[in-house]
Amino acid sequence: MLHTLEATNLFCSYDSKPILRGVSLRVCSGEAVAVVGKSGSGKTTLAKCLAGLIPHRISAFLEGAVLIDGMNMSRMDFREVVKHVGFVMEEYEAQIFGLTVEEDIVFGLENLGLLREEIAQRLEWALKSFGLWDRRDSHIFELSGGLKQRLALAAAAAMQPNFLILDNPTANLDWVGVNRLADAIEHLKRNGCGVVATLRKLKGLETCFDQIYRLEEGILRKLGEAREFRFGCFEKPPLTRTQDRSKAVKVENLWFRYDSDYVLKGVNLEVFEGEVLSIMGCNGSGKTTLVKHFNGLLKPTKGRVVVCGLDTTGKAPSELAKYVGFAFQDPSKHMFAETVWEEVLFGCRCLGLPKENAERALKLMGIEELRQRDPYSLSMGEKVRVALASALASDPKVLVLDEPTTGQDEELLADLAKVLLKLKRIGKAVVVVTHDSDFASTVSDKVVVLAEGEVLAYGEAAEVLSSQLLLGQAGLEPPHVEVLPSVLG
Amino acid sequence: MYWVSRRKAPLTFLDPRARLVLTASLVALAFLATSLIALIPLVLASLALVVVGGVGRRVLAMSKVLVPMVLVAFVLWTYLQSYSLFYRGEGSSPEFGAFMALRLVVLLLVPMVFAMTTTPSELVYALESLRLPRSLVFLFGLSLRHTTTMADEYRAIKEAQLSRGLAMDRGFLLKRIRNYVPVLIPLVVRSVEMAEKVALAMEFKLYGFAKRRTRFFARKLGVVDLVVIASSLILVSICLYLRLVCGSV
Repeated sequence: MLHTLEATNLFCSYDSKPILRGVSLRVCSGEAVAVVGKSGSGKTTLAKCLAGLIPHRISAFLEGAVLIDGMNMSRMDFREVVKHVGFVMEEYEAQIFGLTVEEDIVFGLENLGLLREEIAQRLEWALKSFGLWDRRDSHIFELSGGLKQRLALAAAAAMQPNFLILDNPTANLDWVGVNRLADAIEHLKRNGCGVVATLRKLKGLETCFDQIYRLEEGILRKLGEAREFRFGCFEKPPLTRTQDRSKAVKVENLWFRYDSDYVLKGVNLEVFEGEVLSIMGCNGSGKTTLVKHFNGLLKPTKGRVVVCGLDTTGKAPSELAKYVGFAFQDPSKHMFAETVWEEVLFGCRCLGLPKENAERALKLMGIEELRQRDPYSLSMGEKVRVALASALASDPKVLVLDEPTTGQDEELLADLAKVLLKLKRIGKAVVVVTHDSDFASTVSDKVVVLAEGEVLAYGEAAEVLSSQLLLGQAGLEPPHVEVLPSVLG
Repeated sequence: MYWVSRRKAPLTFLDPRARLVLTASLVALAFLATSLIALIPLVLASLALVVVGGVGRRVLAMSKVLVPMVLVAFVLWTYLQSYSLFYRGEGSSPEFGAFMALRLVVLLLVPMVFAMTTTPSELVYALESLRLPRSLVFLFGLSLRHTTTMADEYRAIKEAQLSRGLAMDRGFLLKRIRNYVPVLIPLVVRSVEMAEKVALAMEFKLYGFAKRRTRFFARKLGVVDLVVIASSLILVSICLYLRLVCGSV
C-alpha cells in the first residue's frame, strides 16, 4: 500500500518569530527526500513538524497541515502518529535506551507489545540490515558515535513506521559513516519506508535522495533531481604562505596508550608559526589524542612534545594555556558565562592576563558588538567565533581547533576558513583536526593523515590530498573537483 | 560500567538473580556473624568467589587501596572501639580489631565481585525479577545507561576549561569548590537538555503504549541457579535463627 506524508503550506513560529514560511513537500513510501540548509534555517523545526512533535509535544504557532495518508496529524492522537512516523534526533544518544545493542532495538518492540517471535524476526532484520549483527552483544558505551547513530536508526526502523524523519544524521559522521548512512537510506527505501532527512551538507548522499529541497530562512525551494545537483564546495579564500617561520610545535616519536593498546604509535611532526596544519583521519584514528598532547591534557607514554621550546611533560594544561589556545568541537557545550565578554575574559582571568587581550581577541574575531549578548542565544557561527576568541584571549602562539567542521554548513565553513587564514597571516601556528577534505584543502599548508595511531602520510596539502589511494586507505572523503585544482596550482 | 569484566568465568554462567541472592546472602552473613571463627569461612568463600568470578588479577590490582583500608580498620577497631556508636568495649582488643577487619574484607570483596561480573543489563534484569515497580527499574537502567554519557560530557567540559587556563586544584577549599563552577554550569545545562530529549525519545519508543509489555529477554533458572539460591537462603535463615535465638553465630 502506498503511504504519503505531506506538508501543505506550513507556517510555524516560536514567540512570534517566524521559522517556517509556507513550506509544502510530499514524500511517498519508498522515497527519500533531503532538506538542505544552513544552521538556523528551520530544518529541525520542519523535522519536528513532520514527526508530529509540533504541535503535540512542543508548543508553537502552527498554520497549514501535515497529513499522513490524507489525515491531519494535529487531529490525531500522538501515539497514533508515532506508529506511522519514526524520528531519529540529531542527538541520537538521547534515544538509545538499551544497555546493549540488542536491548535497544528490542526496547521499542517490547513497548509495542509484539509477540516474542515477531520481535526476534524484526531484531534479526534490523541487526543484519544495518550492519550491527557482529556488535549485537556490545554495550552501548563500547560503540563509536557512528555506530550509535546507526543503532538509533536501526531501532527506529525496526518499529516499522511508514516514514522516518532523520534530523541532521551526518552531524557526527566521518566519510565511512556517511557512506554507511547512504546504504541504510537505500535499504529503508527498498523496504518501502519513506525517508525525510534534514542536512547541512549533502556530500556523499547525493545518489540516495529522490528529491532535494533547500530551506532558506523558512522558505523551501525544490532543487530538482539529486543526481544533477552538486553541493559541498565553497568559494576558496586565497592562500598565503609565510617564508620566515620558527618552530611552534615539535612532536618527537610520540607513543601513547590509555590502557593496554597504543593509540599513537611513533608520531613525528612539526608545526611552524604562520602555518596551518590539518590532522586528518577517520573516527578513532587518534587525531584528538594527538592534539591533546599539545597543551598537556595528555602526557606521552614514550617520546616527547615540545611547544614553543617547552617540553609538555611535567607542565599542567593551565601552564601551557598561555602558549596553546584550544577550541573544542561544539562550543555551546562548554560556555558558562552570562555574556560573551565574560566568556572571552575567562581565560585572561585564569591566567592573570590584562583585559586588553580579551578586547583584542573580540576585535580579531569581529564580534565586538556581541559583547553583552548571552552566549547561548547566539547562532552557531557566532558561537564558533566566541569560542575562537576565548582561545585567542591568552594570545597563544599555537591555536588548535578540534573538529571545527563537524556538522557545520558550507557558509560557516567558508567563514571559518577566512578566520583561519587571518590568523595565519598574523603568524599563528594553526592546527586543525578534521575529516573534511574540502576544508583541509582550502586552509592547510600541510596535512598529516593518521590511521590507527600511525602517520600514514605527512606533507604538502596538495600532494597528500590528491592521492585517491591514500584517502581511500585512510577512510577519508575525496576533495571536490572544484577544490583540488586550485590547491594543486 | 567500564569495570565489568568481559571474561567468561564459572560465576558468569550463573543467572544474575542467583548471583544477586548469593551476594546479598554473603553480605547478610557477614553482619550476622558474631565471632572470628564464623567469619573465616566467609572470607574463604569471598576469595573463592574472586577465583570463580575470574577477577583475581583485577582484585589484586586494587589491593593497594584495599589492604591499607583493612589495616586502618584493624588499628581503629583495636584501639578506638570504646568510641563506637554500635559496639561497646574497653581498652584494646586485637581480636575484635581482626574481626572487624575481616568483616570489611567480606563486605568489600563480595559486592566488588558482583559488580565486576554482572553487566548493567543483568543487574536491571535481576531487579525486574524482584518485582520492583517497572518504572523504578527502568529509571535505574536509564541512569546506568547515561552514566558514561555524562561522565564523557564532564571530562570534555573539564578539558575545555583546563585548556583555557583554569587550575582546578589551586587554592583552599572554598576556592577549589568555586573552581568547579565553570565545569558544573555547562554540565547542568547539558543534563537538562538531555533529559528533555530523553523524555521526547521515550514517546517515540512508545514507552507505556501497550497495556502488557512483552518481555523478550526472559531467562529460566537452571538447576545450579536454584541450588545456589536455595542454599544461600537456608544458610541465612539458620544464621538468623542462631543469632536471634541463641544470641551468637
